[in-house]
Formats: sequence, structure tokens, C-alpha cells
Amino acid sequence: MSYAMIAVNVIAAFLIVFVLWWFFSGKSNAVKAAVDAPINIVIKDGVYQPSFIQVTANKPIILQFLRQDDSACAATVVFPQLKLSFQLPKNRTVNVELPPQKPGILDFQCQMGMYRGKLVVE
Amino acid sequence: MTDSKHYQLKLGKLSCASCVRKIEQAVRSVKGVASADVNFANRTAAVTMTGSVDDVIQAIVQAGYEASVLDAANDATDQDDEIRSIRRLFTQAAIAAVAGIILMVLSYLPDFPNVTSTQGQKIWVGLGLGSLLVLYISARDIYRAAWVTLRNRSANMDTLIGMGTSVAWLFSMLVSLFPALLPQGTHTVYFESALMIIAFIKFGAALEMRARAKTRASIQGLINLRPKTARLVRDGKDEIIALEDVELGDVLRVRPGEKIPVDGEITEGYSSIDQSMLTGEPIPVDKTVKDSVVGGTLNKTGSFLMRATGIGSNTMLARIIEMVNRAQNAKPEIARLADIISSYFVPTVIVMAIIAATVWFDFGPEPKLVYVPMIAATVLLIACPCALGLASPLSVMAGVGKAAEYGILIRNGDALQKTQRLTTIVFDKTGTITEGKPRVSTIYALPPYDEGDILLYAASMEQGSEHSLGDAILKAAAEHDFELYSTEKFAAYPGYGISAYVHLKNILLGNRKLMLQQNVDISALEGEAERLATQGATIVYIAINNQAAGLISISDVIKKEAYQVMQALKEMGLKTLMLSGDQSAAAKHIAGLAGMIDVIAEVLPEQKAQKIHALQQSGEVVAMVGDGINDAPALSQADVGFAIGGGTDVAIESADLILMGSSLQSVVDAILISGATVKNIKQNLFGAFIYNALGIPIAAGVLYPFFGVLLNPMIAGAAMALSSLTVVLNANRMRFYRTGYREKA
Repeated sequence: MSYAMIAVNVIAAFLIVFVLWWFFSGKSNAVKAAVDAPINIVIKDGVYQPSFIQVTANKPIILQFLRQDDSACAATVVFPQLKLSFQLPKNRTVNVELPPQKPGILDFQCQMGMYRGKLVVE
Repeated sequence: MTDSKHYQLKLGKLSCASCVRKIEQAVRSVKGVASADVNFANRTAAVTMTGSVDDVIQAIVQAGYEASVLDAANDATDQDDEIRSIRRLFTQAAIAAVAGIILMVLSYLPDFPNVTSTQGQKIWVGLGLGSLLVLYISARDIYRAAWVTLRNRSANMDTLIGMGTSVAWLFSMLVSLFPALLPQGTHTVYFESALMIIAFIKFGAALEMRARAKTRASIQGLINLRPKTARLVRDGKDEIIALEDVELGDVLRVRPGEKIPVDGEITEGYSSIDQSMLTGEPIPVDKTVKDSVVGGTLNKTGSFLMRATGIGSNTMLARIIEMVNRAQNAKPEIARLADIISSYFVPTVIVMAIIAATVWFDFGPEPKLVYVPMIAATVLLIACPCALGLASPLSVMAGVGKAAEYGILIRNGDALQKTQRLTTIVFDKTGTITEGKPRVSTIYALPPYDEGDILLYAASMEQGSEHSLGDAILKAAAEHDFELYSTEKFAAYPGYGISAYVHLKNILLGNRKLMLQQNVDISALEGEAERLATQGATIVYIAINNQAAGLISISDVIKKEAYQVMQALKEMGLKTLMLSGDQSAAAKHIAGLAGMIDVIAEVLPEQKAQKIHALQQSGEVVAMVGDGINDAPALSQADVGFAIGGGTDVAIESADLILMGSSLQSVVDAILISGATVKNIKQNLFGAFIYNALGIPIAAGVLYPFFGVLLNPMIAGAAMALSSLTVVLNANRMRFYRTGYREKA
């Protein structure tokens, strides 16, 4: 086995670990939502910004979505655990009100699950 | 002049009435605004304008308030937006395709210089930069999304396409810039592949968006039912006003051939109304004063006046649209697996691409330097999480929309799938199997009373009753123009009957069980009661001062389609069962006529849910079909609850499916449509799984050692675009689905 081959395989292994770490390590960069104030979520370039949001438990949750993304998937936001979904027409602010939740994690995603976000209820 | 549009805005942070003027000023200062009216009470603003409503929202926000568009009244804007998007996708595809084809033709010209010559190198570097410009024009959104998603540790389709084409382009540029660095035979460039991949993907996306728009056609059909204007009657004059301006209590005129603007009650006149768009039932319904009418249905023959009782988002049509909209995004159980897979999909594909490239580097044939990047690109490009993600939402959307065409509203995705596992269907009797319009057929009196006395006392007791039997008695009394007595100490015994004092007499009105419970001797009535009951009539006993006084028999007509429907359900292998509070003989008679397998009679309202539970305990998967408030617990207890005849609000809340019409045929239609939808989802999921399961290994080159087969990245891109298109087209087939059982005109 040549040095080049060893080097390439080591790099490949490193890349794989890096990809897995990058996507699945779930680094927390949560945005905290103030009680009662709606939090703005912009859908642009394939992601929810912010996509990781801390909210207060046992209080109604108000999310304000603004879709600037053309993708058909983004046109609907789904809360799978709550079995709720909302249409998000492009370039219009849509207020989504969720009933008060117990502490835990609530996912939200686009219709096909390509765009994902989490609400951390604390 | 361009058409001006009307917007309804929801305002926030509106603390004082003086804010109204500030907002109006802010809005009016925006170019294109013709009028702006702020309503402080309900915190809305009505704006008529040309141009973009976003400018208005921005102006309001700058003034220190909040605003959002309230209703989806301007669906036209959404549609325009969509048409523009589709056109843009087609243009982007065309630009990339033309550029790609030119490069392809050039590279195949025999005299065209190769990158290894000095002159050729310059030409190819130039062509490479040109292709970069085209990629920027056609697909900058993809690259931007790829970059943003990667940075945000999420990934989607764009990530894969962006990475795949970037690998192809970068490798080609490297070859063009430094041909000497690479060994002989590795001087292949893939600029045209990158361009063609983008062309295929954009073209596929355009077709997909167009097909998706069609999948929503049924919903659009419902939205289009909403008329734009109403004819307001004010001071004896008709005035045409916008639908949004109709207020509760307004008196509106509806002329023949017009759509009924909002929900209301007829106050003058009569007509025949076509409700097929909501109920799926083709025969028009006659309506007259005090009858309720539903917005969006069609007035056929007469002209009438109506009072608006439901407007805006409170109309039946608006609620239906809302319900269908929600259900269209519901996911049946079966789709959740696809969801889990798709969340790990893209990172997994990236890892697979790295592994495949490494394996080719370690064990692959020469020239490795060409194979390695191309294998990585091909794997990235062929993988299609879209097909997986699209599989269920599109089918559900098409299926729910199809059901709506048949007057069936599906409230949740799970119901679609559960309907396929049913073994028993339980029907409520009154209003479900029968027409629910019972009439008094016989009155039998014991001396000293006569038939008139019996009817008079019974009708006096039933005043204000909403029970269908009470209604029948009241109608019969009305035919005799009786003046009814007032009642005192009224008491109701649900499932038994009622008691009250009328004219100082203690009257008991109810079924046999009530009489036995109150120790009334009804032996003198038994013979007559039995005779009438075997004919399917419901018997109401009346006792005066605890003495049997007589009985009233009330019979209901069985729905004409009942027998045929039960036969169809039997053919599907389902057991049909009737649940009724009636005496056993009457219930059996009706069930016999309907050709039903079994009857559970003399069930108290609160026992209905228990009976369903008992069936479930014995291993049956049970559906319940009912209409009344008292069916609600049974509807929620059942595995699948069908509220029939539009149902009462309570029944609708507890049901999984709502049959807008009163025809039992909807039950069969609902089961067939659910079945077709679940089948469609399965086909889509299967297709998407198989595509990825076969496509990715082939792209990685597993066939190469055996057959020498290797995919070009361009083919991979085309296959990917095709796979998601196939899913969309298959879901679209649902639009043409007919239950074949009852055909709608």
C-alpha cells in the first residue's frame, strides 16, 4: 500500500466522521423566545432561520413564519407530534399559534420533511 | 390601469384609537394604495391597491405596528406567483440545456481542440468560465441553498445537487487549467454534464410544480365556489356589494342561477337548491322560509331573500376548506417510516459517496483520477430524497381532494389507513339507515280518552323538543291546528322519555321501559303495540296519572339506497350492524329491510360507546356511522367514525370522516377512496425505495466489475429528476379516480 493510498483512505475516514459529526451532533444554537411575544422564523434558502428555538412550557406558543423560499415543500409547515399543519403563502407573514405544551421537544418541518426545525419546550 | 386588489390585514400592537389614523396615513403614503380603512374594533385594515401588499405591511411595521395578510381571499396572487415560478424554472432549464448541448456538440466535433493543446486549453478554460456563468444564471438558488443548508447542519435535495455538480465542474476546471498535472487519458471535461444536470432538474421541478398545482385542483374547486359579490337588500333596494362586506344579519337577495353568497336562513320565498358541490348528491333540495342555506351552493329555480347567519371564516364552506387543507397535510402511519428515513438520507448519501469514491481509489481501474470524482458526483446526483418525501403528502393531498369531490371530508390521515382494516361497520338507525323524518302513523287510545286527547297531551309535552320523535308528534298536532297546553315540572329521562304536569295531570310519555320503571300497567296496550312494532314502527306510550292512556306509533322510512349499500359492504367482506335505542321488534324490522347482518336494539345513548368497545374487545375493527349528538361518544370510541348528513357540530368533532350528504353510498365511496389513496401511497413509497436502493449502488459502480456498466453523472441527474416526477404523476392519477360505485355528473 502506497503512502498516497494510506493518505487518501485516512482523509476519507476523517471526512466521513466529519460529515456524521456535522449533521448529527446537534450543536445547540437555540434562540430563546420571550414569553407572549411571537418569534419570527424566516424560510429562505432551504432552512428555517432560526431552526432551533427555546420556548416556555405551559404558555401558548406564537410563531411567525415568513416564507421567502420558492420550494413547494416549504409552502407547508407541519408539526408532526401535534398533527397540525399550516399553509405558508410566499412573502406573507403567517402567525401560527400552538397550544401550551409540556416540557419536551417539538419538531417542525416542511411538508416533505426536507426542512427541519425544533422547538425546545422548557 | 392595472387591476387593483383588495386585502384584509390583521393588525397588531394597536393600543389606542388614535393609532388608527397613524396607520391609515402610513398605508396611504404607499404608492398604489387607493383606499385604506382601519377597523379598531377587530384590529383589521381593508386596503385596496395595485402593487405589492408587502410594501403596505412594511409601512405599517415602520410606523411601529404589526400587520399580516388576514385571509387567503387573493388566491389569484398565489396562482400568479406559482405561474411565474413555473415559467422561471422552464427558462432556467432551457438556458442550461442550450448551453449544455452546445458544449456537447463542440466536444464531439472531430477537429475541435483538446485541452492538451495550448490553444485548446485556453478555449476550454473559457468554455468552463462560460458554463459557470450559465450555472449562476440557471441555478444560483440551488448553490445558495446548498451552502446555507450545509452551514446550518441541515441538508436537502439542493445540497446533493449543488455538491454533485460542483465536483463535476471543479474537476473539469482542474483538468483544463493544469492538463500537465494529470496523466494521459484523464483529460475528460464534464462542463456539459453539470449544465445538463441542472437543465434536467429545473425542467423536472417545473413539471413537478405544475402537477402539484393540479393535485390541489379539488381544493381550488372548493375555493372557487365562493362567489365574489352578494346582493344586499337595503331600504327596499338591491345593492351589489363585495362578499367581504356582508355582515351578520344582512338581508340578501339570491336570484335563480346565482350562487348563495354566505350561510343563512331563508326569510322570504322558496327555491330548489343544488348542493351537489358540497354533498356530492346530485338531486336539488327544496327549501323555503326558515330553512338554512349554505354559501357556495347553487340556487336553481326561485328567487328568495335570506338573512346572513355565517360569514367569513365561519361559513360551512370556509370550514370545509380549512378542514380539507389540514387533512391534506396529514400523514398516515405508513408515511412515518419514510419520514424517519428521509431525515437521515442526505448525510448518509454523502457518506456513501465518500466510501464509493475511496473504494474506487483503492481498487478501481485506471484512470482513477477520472473515476473517483465522477463516482462521487454520480452517487450524490442519483440519490433522491424528494421521491421519498413526496410519496405520501401528494397522494394524501390528491386522495383527500378526491374525497371532497364526493362530499366526503377526511379529518385525519390515519383514518385513510384504518379504513382499510375495518371488519365491522355499525350504523345508527334513525337518520342514518332511515330518512330520520319520522311521521305519526297510528294513534291508539284507551277509554276515556280519544285519539285527539292522546295527540294533544303528547304534543304539549313535546313542545320545543328537538328529538325527531317529538318533532313527528308536533307536526301531526300542527296538522290538526291544536292549541297546545303549557307544561310544568318537566323532567327528561334520556333513553326513556319525559314526564310533566299538563292541565294538573301527571303525564308520562316514553317507551316501554319508562312505563315499567314507573310501574304503569300497560297490558291493555301490549297487543296493539306488538302488532305495530313488527311493522317497524317506534311506539311511544302515554300514561295519564299513572294509568295507561294510549300509544302513538311513529314510523320512519328506510333510505332507498340502504339495501344496495349493505350488499356492497358485504361484498367487501364487512359485517354490518345496526345500533338503535328502539324496541327490538322495530329495529329488527328496519335492519331486515336494509339487509343488515345483526341488530343491537334498546341501547341507551350512553351505552352506544360501550357496545362499540365490546365489539373491539372481541377483535373487531369497528367503524361507526351516525349523525346525532348522542352518537358522538360512539364515533370517538370507534376505530373510524363517520358523521353522516353533515352531522351536528359535536358529531363532526368526534368523527374521522364527515359525509356531507345524507346518502349511505358515501360510506362505500369513502372506503373505496381511502383504499385507492393508501394504495397510491404504497406504490409511491415502494417506487421511491426501490429507485434509491437500486440507483445508489449502480451509481457507485457495483455493476462495473461484472458488466462494465457505469453511469454518467448526467444520466444520474436525469434519473433523479424523472424519479420525483414519476411520484408526482402517479399521485396525480388519483385525480381521475372514480369509485365506480356512484358516478358523479
